[in-house]
Amino acid sequence: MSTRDEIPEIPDLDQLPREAAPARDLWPEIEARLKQPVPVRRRPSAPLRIAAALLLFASGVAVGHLWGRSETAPAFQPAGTLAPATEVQRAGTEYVAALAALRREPRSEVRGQGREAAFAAMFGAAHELARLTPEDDTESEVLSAVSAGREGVARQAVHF
Amino acid sequence: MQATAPRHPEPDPAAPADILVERARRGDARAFEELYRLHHRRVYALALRMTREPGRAEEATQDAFVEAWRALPSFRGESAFSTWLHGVAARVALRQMRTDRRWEERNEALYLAEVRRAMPETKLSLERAIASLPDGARTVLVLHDVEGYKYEEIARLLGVALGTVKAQLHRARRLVMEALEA
Repeated sequence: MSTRDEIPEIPDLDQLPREAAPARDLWPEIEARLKQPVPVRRRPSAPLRIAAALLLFASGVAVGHLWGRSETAPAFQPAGTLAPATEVQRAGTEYVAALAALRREPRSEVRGQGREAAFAAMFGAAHELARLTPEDDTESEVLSAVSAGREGVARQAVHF
Repeated sequence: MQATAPRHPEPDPAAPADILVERARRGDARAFEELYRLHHRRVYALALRMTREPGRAEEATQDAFVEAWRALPSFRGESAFSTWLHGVAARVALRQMRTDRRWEERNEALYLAEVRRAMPETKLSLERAIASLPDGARTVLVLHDVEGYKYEEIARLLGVALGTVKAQLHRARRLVMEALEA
């Protein structure tokens, strides 16, 4: 039994007209726009791209913390002053590996959801990074770039 | 006397849609205009029901065709051109609904007047009930029950999970039924 059968259908809904002519001819404006040059999307500057690449690793902080709360104690607990950095590196590596796996995912809707989740995690990490060193402009620029990228992804998807 | 070209060419019945699409893909604006003439009523109807504003529906229709023109090189014919085009139109309308705040104060009378003009054979009570739905529920209902999209296609189009589509449809139908019974 399909789900469509489980949801009561509304009579006459499929009989509604599927065509409607606009009140005016829209083609002249469309034609004029077709002749305009396509706006070129500005790429982020090289330092920002490098910072974003570095952020890719750092964004594992958010993911790492999330996993750390939900899992049992890890078998290996890094000790000493390097422990936080090691955790960031480990989580970052896992984040990158997860993205690489996502790239191989054949289903576009799964890739889309993964991309959104990746941006959300990256945004969270950028936010933490900016809070870590609020006096440093680089982190703020990275946060702005990631925020813009995340909004771009959100515009492509639909939120209910 | 020399014949003059018609201002708005009628779609050439001898030119199947896939030939028009191929010509348009190669940059033939005349072929794209024929595609526009063939499909703009469906696109406008979809945009009108999704946006509930005649002006915004016109903008969405124009934007959809402009985006389709620019994206045509990436159209690989894996689905029918009309399906692909309606997907573009739905995305454009959704984007407008989310980002364009000019139309927040919706005028139901204006919308119903436009529905009456553009679709005189429709059932106004049903159109009013659909128009009263929240954006997400209305979008899914229009795409599934009016346009005939499948759950999977809507999920892919909207970038949401299949379960979300089903839940939204269930909610939309319940709300429409309540509105019709009120």
